[in-house]
Amino acid sequence: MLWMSNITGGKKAIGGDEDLEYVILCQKGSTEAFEVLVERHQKKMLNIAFRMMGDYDEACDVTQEAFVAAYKSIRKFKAEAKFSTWLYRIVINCAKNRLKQLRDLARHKGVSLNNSEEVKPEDGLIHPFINDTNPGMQLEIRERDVQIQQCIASLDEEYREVLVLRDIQGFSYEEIRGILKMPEGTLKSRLSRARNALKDCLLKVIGDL
Amino acid sequence: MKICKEIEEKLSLYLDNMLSAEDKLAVEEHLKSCSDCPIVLVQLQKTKNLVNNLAEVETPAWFQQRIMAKVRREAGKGSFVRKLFYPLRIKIPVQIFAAIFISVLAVYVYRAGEEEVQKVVPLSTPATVTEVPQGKIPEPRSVPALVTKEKVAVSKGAGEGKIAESEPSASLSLPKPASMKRGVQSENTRERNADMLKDVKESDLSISQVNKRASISMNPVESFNVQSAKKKGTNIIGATAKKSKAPPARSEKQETSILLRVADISAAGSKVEKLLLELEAKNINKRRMPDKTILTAELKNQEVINFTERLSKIGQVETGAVFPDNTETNIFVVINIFSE
Repeated sequence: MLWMSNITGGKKAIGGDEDLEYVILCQKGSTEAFEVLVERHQKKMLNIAFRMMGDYDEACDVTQEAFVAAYKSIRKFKAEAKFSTWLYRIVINCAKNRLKQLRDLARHKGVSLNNSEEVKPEDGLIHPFINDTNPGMQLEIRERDVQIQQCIASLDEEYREVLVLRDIQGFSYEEIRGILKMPEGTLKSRLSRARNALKDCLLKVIGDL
Repeated sequence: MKICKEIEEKLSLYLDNMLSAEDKLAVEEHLKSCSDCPIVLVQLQKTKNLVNNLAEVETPAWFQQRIMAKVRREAGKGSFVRKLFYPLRIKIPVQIFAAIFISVLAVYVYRAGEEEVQKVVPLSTPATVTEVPQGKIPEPRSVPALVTKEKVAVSKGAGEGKIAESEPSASLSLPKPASMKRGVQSENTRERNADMLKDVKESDLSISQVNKRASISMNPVESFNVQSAKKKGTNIIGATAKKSKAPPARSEKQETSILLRVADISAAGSKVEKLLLELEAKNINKRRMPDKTILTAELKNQEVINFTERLSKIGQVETGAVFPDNTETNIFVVINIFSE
């Protein structure tokens, strides 16, 4: 469904963006409309942040920061792309900024953030996504998830983000290009290298896939 | 092997079906003939599946509430600014107009206030006050002293044939204009032939009158006039003294006139003159007239009686006023010698 929007100054807005009407209300100062947007996108935002950060608490902080940043700059949003695309770009950037801070802090302290060689099963206990169906299965899954997460965390940030968006969040190549503002060729090569690097890491950590 | 590396790079895209038709065919052809690349393909597929199956994390129960609390806090910060300037189309022009109006009003008020200040300032300027030097204010008491000094100066000057020039006393600080003095002096020379006795009497009276006035008046101008009048009188006397012997100083000097009748006026005149010299009289002046001879002199009061007695040996004496016994004063004596 297409409609005219003041946001784009007369240009036709992207069709099918269910968030647009709430965005317009937010631009007029409505915090209630923004709360609707928060409810819709908070889980995905958190998961993106979690896969980027590798730590749940850090992911929560990054996600909150991203939402506040989004509200502050919501008047700058021009409906040239979907609102979600714009929103996820914010959380990716917030996560990368935070990772840089932690890296600088670790470098100052002389500690390495790369723990791919030391994957501990108890790390999964901090994750709150407990499934009540099969406790034994849950533990194995949780252990596997921790190892995978560790391998993901070992990747360079530029490889990590494409992998998270494509293979974890399931965004299309076009959507990922919109989020990361990346040429198609760059995206393809980075994704290929990300998967190969992750494969090699998992073979080392898990063994036979 | 080189081909395997090239193929391996494309396997990931092959999984996503993101290869071109040509590249896809090339990969499939290679996979049929290569033993390693298919294994890699499988591993990539499993990796992708593992990542795809990663469990999503759930948001905490407080998550949305906390986010909105931060958002509302942020909204509160910007609301004041937003209320001031939004909507831009309406508020900005209004605020610009208001700023212009206030500045025009401020300029108007400032200028109006400046005019008021200018009106007030001239009135508040203090009037110039002319001070009369206290030293200029004459002291009546010192006037007699001034006159005395003048008299002394005149008498001294008379002996030398000079016009007496008196300086004002210290108590009277009025400057003596030189031009005034010179004018008076020139006037004096013109009045040489005046009746000296009459002039002296008149000037004595005038000086005494002026002195009385001076004792009362505090006006520096009047005192100056008094001073100038005194000087005038003094200088007149001095002028006559220049021609003849120095006339006696007048003012505040007691005088008496003596009438002497004799047979021989000329001889009597000489005798009286010698007598005056003998009694140390001052300012002896002799005037011969057709029917009489007039002698004037300043005689000590204590000698007046003696003088009168000795005059009686020369001729018939008729005296004037009786004087108080004040030995320190000089008496101005006028002797009129008549024939019997």
